[in-house]
Amino acid sequence: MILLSLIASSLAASSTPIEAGPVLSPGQPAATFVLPDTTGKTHDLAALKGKTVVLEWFNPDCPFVKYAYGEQGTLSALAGRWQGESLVWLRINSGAPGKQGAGSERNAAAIAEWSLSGPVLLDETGAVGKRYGAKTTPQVVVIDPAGMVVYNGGLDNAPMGKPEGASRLDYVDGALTSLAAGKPIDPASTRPYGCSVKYPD
Amino acid sequence: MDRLVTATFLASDTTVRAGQGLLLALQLQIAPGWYVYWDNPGDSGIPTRVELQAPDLELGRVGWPAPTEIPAAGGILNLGHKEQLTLLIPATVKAGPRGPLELRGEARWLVCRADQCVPGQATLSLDLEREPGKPRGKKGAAPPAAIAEALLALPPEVEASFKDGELRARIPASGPLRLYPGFALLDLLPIGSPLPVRSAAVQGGTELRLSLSGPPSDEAFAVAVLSTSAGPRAFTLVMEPPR
Repeated sequence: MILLSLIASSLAASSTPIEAGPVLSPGQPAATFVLPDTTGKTHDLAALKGKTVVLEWFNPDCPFVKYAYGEQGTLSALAGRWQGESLVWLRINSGAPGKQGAGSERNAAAIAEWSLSGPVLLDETGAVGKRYGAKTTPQVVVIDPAGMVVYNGGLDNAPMGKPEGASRLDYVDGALTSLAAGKPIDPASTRPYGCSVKYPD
Repeated sequence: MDRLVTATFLASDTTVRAGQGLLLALQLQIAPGWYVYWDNPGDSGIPTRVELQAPDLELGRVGWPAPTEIPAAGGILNLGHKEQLTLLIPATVKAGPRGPLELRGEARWLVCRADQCVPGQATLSLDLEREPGKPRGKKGAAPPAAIAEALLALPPEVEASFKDGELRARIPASGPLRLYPGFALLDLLPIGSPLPVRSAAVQGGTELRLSLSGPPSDEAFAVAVLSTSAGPRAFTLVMEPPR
């Protein structure tokens, strides 16, 4: 019976990872979701209330993600600096099965290759990605301890390390710094750049 | 695999004089099935960029052809170019000593198809010869075919103005309109919402209004494509008098 109910709950989790609704922007309560990671373990956003949560859309075969983790390491360093007791960093891959960078095997390999200290959650239906308006990898959403979306946008203004504009702006680092200091986050929305999220056709 | 993008850098003239205007061109030949991005790439991607070090030239705003809409799964809409893209950069020769005029620079792009993207770049290098005397006027040799063709593909410019929080322009064509704001306008537009644009048929054309959160820079531009009875017609809305 225990086995049966486990199967039932995992089926429920995979068929409805998130409640349907409009795209979430800063100032709105985060929609909770339940998603499995590459090991099959499920992660429930509702259980993380009281902590700051960073959702980072991830695709290990996207050149921008590779640049951030592999060649330059800025994203590894950023996540490493902020992760801790009060901040959880969740990478989410909303790629459909068979598409570039999707699937538990490829993402487990990326975790090993880049020594990632957190999980990669698999959102194969794309429902969580679409609800959070994820269009690119990397794209980042920050949820505050009260469960509100406080940032949604790009990692920085510098695709492949080349700033668009006069100077480099590290949006996510700035948002987390402001949040930690109890200051308003500005900008709370930016235009993300990168590869398109490989949603189901 | 064949090269996905082949970049060529060329100029309308090889011998130039102080005060002379010329056109520089970056031509990207793109492999079938792939595309590069417009100045504003849309929902994902990154813009194609050309950066030049040319202390002997005064460079103007890059001229872009109208973008093609490239939809992807999940409601993602990109703006880009298939097959080929030629960017035209107007330049004026500054006064200086006779001799070689060196142009150096870099082009960067992201070339994609539905399932993958590959970043690319090219080093640009071109030497022109500066000779003494005044500009020869329009009687110089005809520009290379690539530049002549790119000029034809460049949407004609229409001057726009900014007043009461709106960019306004009168476009000399009629029909349903699609507006593509260039990158420099994006910071003045809401993220993730429909474009705050209105258009109305007026005598001899279309009046367009786009709400902006502040005044646009001089380099800001947008491309309007109208579906006219004679087919699509594109115009570049610029903040300065048309050149």
